[in-house]
Amino acid sequence: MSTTKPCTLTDGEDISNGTRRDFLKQTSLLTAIALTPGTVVKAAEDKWDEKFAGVFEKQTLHLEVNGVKHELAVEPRVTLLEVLREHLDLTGTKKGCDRGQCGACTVHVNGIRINSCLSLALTNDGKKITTIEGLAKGEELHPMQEAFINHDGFQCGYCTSGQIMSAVALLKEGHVGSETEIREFMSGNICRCGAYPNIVKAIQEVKGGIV
Amino acid sequence: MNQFQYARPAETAAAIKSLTKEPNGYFLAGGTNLVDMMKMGLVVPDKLVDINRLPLKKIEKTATGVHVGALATNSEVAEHAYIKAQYPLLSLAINAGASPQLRNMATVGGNLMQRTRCPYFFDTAMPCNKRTPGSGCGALEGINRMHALFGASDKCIAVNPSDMNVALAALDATIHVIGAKGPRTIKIGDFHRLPGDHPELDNALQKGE
Repeated sequence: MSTTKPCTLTDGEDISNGTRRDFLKQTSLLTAIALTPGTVVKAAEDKWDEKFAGVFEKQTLHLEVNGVKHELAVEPRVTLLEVLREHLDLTGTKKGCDRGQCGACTVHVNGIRINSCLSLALTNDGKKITTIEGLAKGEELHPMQEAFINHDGFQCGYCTSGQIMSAVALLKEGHVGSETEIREFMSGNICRCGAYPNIVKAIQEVKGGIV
Repeated sequence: MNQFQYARPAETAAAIKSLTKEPNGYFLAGGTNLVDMMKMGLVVPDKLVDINRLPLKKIEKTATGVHVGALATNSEVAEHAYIKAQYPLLSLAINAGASPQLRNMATVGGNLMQRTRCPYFFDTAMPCNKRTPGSGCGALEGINRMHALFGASDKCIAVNPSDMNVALAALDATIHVIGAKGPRTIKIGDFHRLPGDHPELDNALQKGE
């Protein structure tokens, strides 16, 4: 699925070409194999995993993410956030609290903003998802992305994709009459660095541009 | 999160049937409460019946008021033109709770069904008669200044977390219930139970409803 070049543990040059994420995935996997107790290996040989899968079967999931259609097989307990990050490698959507409180995982489902960490993936079967990766048109950033850069609407950047997804939806919802209203309807997105004043300015700029 | 079976029926009767045979099954709507509690291990279902495809989403004006479908989201109700005009209390109460993203997911039915609970319910290191009947109440002698003044018992002093429910009580709403034994109505004032000796029971719903 991933188009990034795979890296190896022995070749330093390849590691620098791969992503940090690929590196972590591969080293974790090797460690896991080295630490796996014999009983687990035995269970795997006896195909226990397939027997369990018969009861808790993976189900087919159709999603259109940023205009691209996907057909996946996922367990019922997998959330939309996990599908985006782990199955589709769209890691722009962040896992923050994983409890629906911080808003870092905000995406649009059929144009409506939700917390993808509290939405089971299968519930979204057949729906259209937009993530932060889907906002720009090629090299041209979405006006809200431009405004966040212009107004320095972030510091560490971890909450930023969620803030921008929320802000784009907010403009459509129309709750941008005053600074108080913007702050109230952006309250589902927490910024621990405290970039709120600049986030509000960015939203006001885009709102002004639209009017 | 533990494994569970998942079904997504398209008809109300099939959804009810799907759960009547399953003692540890739950209906899934918005999931904002249920999935959260499943992640914390407070609810460990064997089966979830996803009811999001059922035709229960409409908000309709009636002769005596307004009928709100159980699957209408909190946002849809709060932003509905007729509700904003005729029942601003309901709109304001809903918008006072949660966040815009959660209100876009959470349904009216799920909001009604929120468990009456307090922080000690979520803290599995503490006793809670609601979570584990007979284990005691951490809040009675704990940090409890946001807890119940009226209607509490020596088993539980939690209050219902829903802003919407308070507005519905003030507006004297009626809840339409469908179950294996057919439809019935419950007045909002009779829907949520006081804790008494059985705080683990939150509402007047019978099995299969």
